[in-house]
Amino acid sequence: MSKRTIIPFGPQHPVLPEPVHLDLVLEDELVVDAIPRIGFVHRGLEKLVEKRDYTQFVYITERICGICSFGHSYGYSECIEQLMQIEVPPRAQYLRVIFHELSRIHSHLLWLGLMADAFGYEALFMHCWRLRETVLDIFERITGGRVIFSACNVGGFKREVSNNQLAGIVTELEKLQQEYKTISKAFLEDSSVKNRMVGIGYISKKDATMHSMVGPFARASGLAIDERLDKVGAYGELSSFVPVTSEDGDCYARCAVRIEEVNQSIAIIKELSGKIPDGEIMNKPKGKIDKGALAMTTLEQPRGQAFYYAKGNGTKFLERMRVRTPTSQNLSGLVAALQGCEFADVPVIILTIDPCISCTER
Amino acid sequence: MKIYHKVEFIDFNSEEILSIAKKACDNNLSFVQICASAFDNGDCELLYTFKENNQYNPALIGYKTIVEKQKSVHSITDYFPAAFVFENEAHDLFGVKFEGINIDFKGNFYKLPVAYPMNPNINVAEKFAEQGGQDE
Repeated sequence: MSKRTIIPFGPQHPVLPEPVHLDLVLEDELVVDAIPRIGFVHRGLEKLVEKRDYTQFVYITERICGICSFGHSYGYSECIEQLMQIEVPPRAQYLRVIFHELSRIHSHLLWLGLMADAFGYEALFMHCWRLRETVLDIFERITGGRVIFSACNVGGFKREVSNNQLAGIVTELEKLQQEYKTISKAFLEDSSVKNRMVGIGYISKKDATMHSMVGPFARASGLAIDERLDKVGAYGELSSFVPVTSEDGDCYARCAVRIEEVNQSIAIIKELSGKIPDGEIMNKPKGKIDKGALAMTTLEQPRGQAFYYAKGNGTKFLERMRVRTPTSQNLSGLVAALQGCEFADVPVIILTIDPCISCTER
Repeated sequence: MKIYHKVEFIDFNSEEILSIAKKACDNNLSFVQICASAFDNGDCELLYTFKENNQYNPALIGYKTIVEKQKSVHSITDYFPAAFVFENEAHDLFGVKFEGINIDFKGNFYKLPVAYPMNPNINVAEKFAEQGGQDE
């Protein structure tokens, strides 16, 4: 029988931009078990609802994560709107979805860059991040901020974006898409990339269901789950929406799903920019939240389903606010993906769930 | 335009949690999360959320229960392994006790300077001072 060894992985590791720890149980070079541990940078942001009222708290939710910043303000605002029965103007609904999809594009480009960096393809890493700058430049030009831009608020959208500006965004994305095709080809066809990903970290559809996996991690195992299918907000105005899936369940499939999702997001932005209605963008909330009022909602973040829950206490402050991020949900699936892999493949497998620890450590 | 998700909140007795989890599992509901909230008397409220991924009528279902200070709750990780994150979190931050978690960190999931910081009965500043202002 092989000797068992426990190798600590993280919280500081070259492939981990943020701290997460794994105790890897090894038999020779084979990982037989992995035990994750988080909490190294836990910030307790949910507790801040006691100090900030429901309108101020949007700025806290934006700071949960730098990559999904807009998504968190969108999800939180939607939850409070449900709690207070506020009807958001249609134009604001469209703008929210357009900005959320732009965030998904830059998040996936960021991930592709990190992935290329993890297997030592530096040139590819730089090209991915260069393209990501296009989206950040769009944010900066329209809102003044590149990462946290406070565009979404309870009741609507804070900044008017003209139809000309939207047309400009579409033109830039079309240009980006041309260059993106070349980068996608490197990921999907280059043998040095495929060698590191094909058949690695396999998760079956059955296991993906059992581990309640979410986002591209689940879709790459054949689960057609996507919160955008719920057709809440302007997602319901799309002519059609079919989640990008793959049946292969390995690291390559997760990469392929994310690559195609960038194209899908560009198509969504194009469609909604072309049919966005004119009108108001804000329906300002008034008054307090009823005591005991409850609301919950979900949103498809770049990494998968995020969950928001709020409870009122009869004042402008919330009794309880809850954010459940996709990475927390995918930890169980990560453990399953690591079981049975080679030790050298661990960094690539961890990266393919696209872990966001600052979200998890909200 | 549909602007909110369909949601439903159901109260239940904490001893029924296993039968609720089994029913959710049998009906192919997806597990979403567990949220703990502490009360001043030391009791805790747990909200278990499941999602019905029906294409035509998707809905979020929240099962709420109050857990008394000294009581423990059975883990649902036999049906939903992903719940270990939330059960360990509810234990480490709020002091809720769970029986039979598949990966039980026994209070070491979150690396925190004080025990149960989200529980209103614990004065975090006093507790931190008692420990000489030092991390564990």
